[in-house]
Amino acid sequence: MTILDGNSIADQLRQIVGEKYFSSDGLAPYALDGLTPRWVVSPGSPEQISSILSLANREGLAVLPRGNGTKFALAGLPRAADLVMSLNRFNRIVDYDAPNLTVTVEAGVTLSELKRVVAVQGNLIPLDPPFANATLGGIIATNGSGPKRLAYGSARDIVLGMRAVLPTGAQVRFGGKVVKNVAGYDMTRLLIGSWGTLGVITEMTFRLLPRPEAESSVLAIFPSLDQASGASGALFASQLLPSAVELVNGAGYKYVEVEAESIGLAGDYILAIDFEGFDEAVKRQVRDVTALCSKEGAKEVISVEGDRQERLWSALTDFHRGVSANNSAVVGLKSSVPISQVHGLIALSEKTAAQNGLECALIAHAGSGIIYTFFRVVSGNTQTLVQVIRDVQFAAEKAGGEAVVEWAPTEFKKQVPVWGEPQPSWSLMRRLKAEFDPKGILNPGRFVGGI
Amino acid sequence: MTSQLIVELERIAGKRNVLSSPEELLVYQYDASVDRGNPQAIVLPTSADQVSKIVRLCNRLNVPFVARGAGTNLSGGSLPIKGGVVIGLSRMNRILEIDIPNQRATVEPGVVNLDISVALNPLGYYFAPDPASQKAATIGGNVAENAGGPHCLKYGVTTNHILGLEIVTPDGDILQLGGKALDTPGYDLTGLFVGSEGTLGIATKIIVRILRLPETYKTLLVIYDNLADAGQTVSAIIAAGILPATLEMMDRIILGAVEASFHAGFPLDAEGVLLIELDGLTDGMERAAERIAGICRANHAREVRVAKTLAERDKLWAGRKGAFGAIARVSPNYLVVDGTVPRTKLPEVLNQVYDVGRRYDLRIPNVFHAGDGNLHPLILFDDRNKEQKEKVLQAGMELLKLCVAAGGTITGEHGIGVEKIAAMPFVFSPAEIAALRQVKQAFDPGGRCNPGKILPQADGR
Repeated sequence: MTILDGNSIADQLRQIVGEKYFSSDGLAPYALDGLTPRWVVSPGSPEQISSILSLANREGLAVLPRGNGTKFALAGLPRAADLVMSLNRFNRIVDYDAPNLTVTVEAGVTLSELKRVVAVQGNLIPLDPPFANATLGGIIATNGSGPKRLAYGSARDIVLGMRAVLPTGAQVRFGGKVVKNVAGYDMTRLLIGSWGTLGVITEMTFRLLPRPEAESSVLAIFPSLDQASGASGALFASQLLPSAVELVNGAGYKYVEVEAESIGLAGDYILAIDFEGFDEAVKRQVRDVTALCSKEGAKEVISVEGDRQERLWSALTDFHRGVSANNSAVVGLKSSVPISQVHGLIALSEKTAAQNGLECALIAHAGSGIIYTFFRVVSGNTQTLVQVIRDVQFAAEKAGGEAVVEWAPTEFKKQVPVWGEPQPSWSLMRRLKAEFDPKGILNPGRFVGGI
Repeated sequence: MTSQLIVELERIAGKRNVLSSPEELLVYQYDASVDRGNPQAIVLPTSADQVSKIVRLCNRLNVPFVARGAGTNLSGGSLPIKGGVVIGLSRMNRILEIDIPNQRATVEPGVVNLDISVALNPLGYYFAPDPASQKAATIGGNVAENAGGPHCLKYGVTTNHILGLEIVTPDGDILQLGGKALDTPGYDLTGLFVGSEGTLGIATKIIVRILRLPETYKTLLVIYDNLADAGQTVSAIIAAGILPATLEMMDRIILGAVEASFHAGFPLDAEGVLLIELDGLTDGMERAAERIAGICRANHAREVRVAKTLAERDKLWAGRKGAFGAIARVSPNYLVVDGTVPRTKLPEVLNQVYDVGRRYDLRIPNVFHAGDGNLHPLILFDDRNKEQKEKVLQAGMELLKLCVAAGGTITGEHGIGVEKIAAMPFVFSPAEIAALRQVKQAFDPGGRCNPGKILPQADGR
């Protein structure tokens, strides 16, 4: 093993990517959890990535892949951070095959760019996570999703194949352009959501859908959580097929940056419901859900279409941005529980927050069992915040799920299990990591179980 | 050694659950593929705990083991080709829980696929993945193969409907993967396990997604005098922005066999048919069906028939799903090829398939999932004719190469098993196969869990 000579490594990196795409100063913007990397590189090809990872293995460097950094701060604390590898030069649309409903893009392409491209031929990409400027590589590596996962599924349901560079430098391709593909192990699913710890994704092929003929949304305002939950439960038991059902509490709704509706906010609960499909079916469902919500106690049911609809869903999707806009001391949890447990976990979160001087703003994908809860200290302190987070995590586990600490200051992350309670299956995950990344060079320490 | 094995198996599972007579071993030598295995003993456990003990025993005695559901496997996945123990899961056949509010059901691996929907239908729900073998195939097998079926076009394949698993690892540990909730933190081990063909462990409990039964179905049988027109129609429907629930194709020979068996009204004088189904809310369904009919006629369909009752619909599906069985009227054996190609390449690839048939002097009828480009050419032969069988295997490989050349892959739903190991290099580089080996190594360092499947041999493993 060569002596860790900073200059020699810098020289090798310069040689691989070229002077223009190498940087060793002014790297404060790339700092993560108190660690500033020594170098930042922007490779321009899988071969360059391969050379970089080989170098990292030889020199024992910790490598952090990065897109546009929208979720760079999420996850556990890195054990080390020597080299940030930006995928921003991987920005090509490789193949848009509209008749076959597939599109292949490089990892650095942003979601908004992809949406624009496929809209031209009347398709849509069934993926609506927050942050329009997030890169697809980052979205897929972190399994990002949004409200319409209710109808479309998540990354694991729409990625048909990908190219990646494995930690030891091997360039691989798994899956392809076809939906039906069971050759070998499902490596695509293994890499999705793997948080950059098993390989660097360079290219993905997505399955597209035809644009629906019609789309229409409804906002229903309820005076209590019980009634809002009752309505969503009745909706899911019915024949109706919503594309999205978002449950937002009053504290949360005030951050949703849409022009003020005639809504009495404090203490209210809002259901935002979206329908897509044939014209007749959308109209029927809007009628039916309006009646359903009224029956379940809605104070008001508002129909939302056109531009207003776009603004509403944009605000709901980017809920985190709204909540944390003036507030960096917000702690955000992502809880995932069985659908029927959403109500109980929301009630508990609000109660324990209120008892401990915290504001609790939340939005739930009610039909998927996923709740994004943001806590802010109003009259409590950090210790009470830690206790509240632990209480919610414990409750989520008891409910048959997990609560992950997504957004939190570094010091806070040191005091809670970011990924929730350790699970027995994590030992199998560690074995996989050991196989693929024996030296532990990719994102060390940031994932579950110290991976 | 075998007698010690049997004594220990009996101790774990009970004497009546261990089979070892020559006749009993014989029936477990084969599945629905063209290969043969070589079992030393069969054991039929009734709990995950027993499965765990059996796996630990096999490890202790250095004996391979392979799980088996109903043996409908088409690529040799259920065959003990390296000898050892067959762990039959047919006695673990209970539906443990139906959880409507959470849209989940928890089932044991030996539950027959169709029986899940049969249990759910009275409650207004069903389990969407519907492989043609669903009357016999078990959900454990569906998980192992990531089974498909006609309704994949709209609803996805098995993996899109599996939320969690309890597995016995090749070490014998019982682990919970995933659960009723989505997005379990960590690697997607559930997703990795589905489609792993029994080589990474044995599923002993399966948590599935259940769906509300559609309000309405609209099923069309569209008759063609020219298969290319049928293939064009498939692309044209998708291009029009309509995604039906199914888009299936059957050709002349298949139609003859199926009509003789099922009398569903299939035409005997057509080159082929499309079986197209829409499902969902009633509103707009009629108009969508009319649009589809219009597209079919614009692509020279001879006739468009709409099933008027559920009974008519059921008969059409019985026919389609009974195709492989009905082919017995025409030939004692077949090799079903499972290549997938991009949808738009279908007409061209179909021609190439018939061409291969002519060159090898073999009849190759076709029944398949046209909507997702998943072909099933059935190469007809007589197993007793060794020369012909050789030709058949060669023709099969050529068809797979053809699919890969068209931008597709070598298996859409039936798995690699034993049958397609030689074809793995058509789609994977040595580096990629090495990566697959690393997955196998992480789960099964001992190499006893369904050995000899999926991965080409290397280093004696």
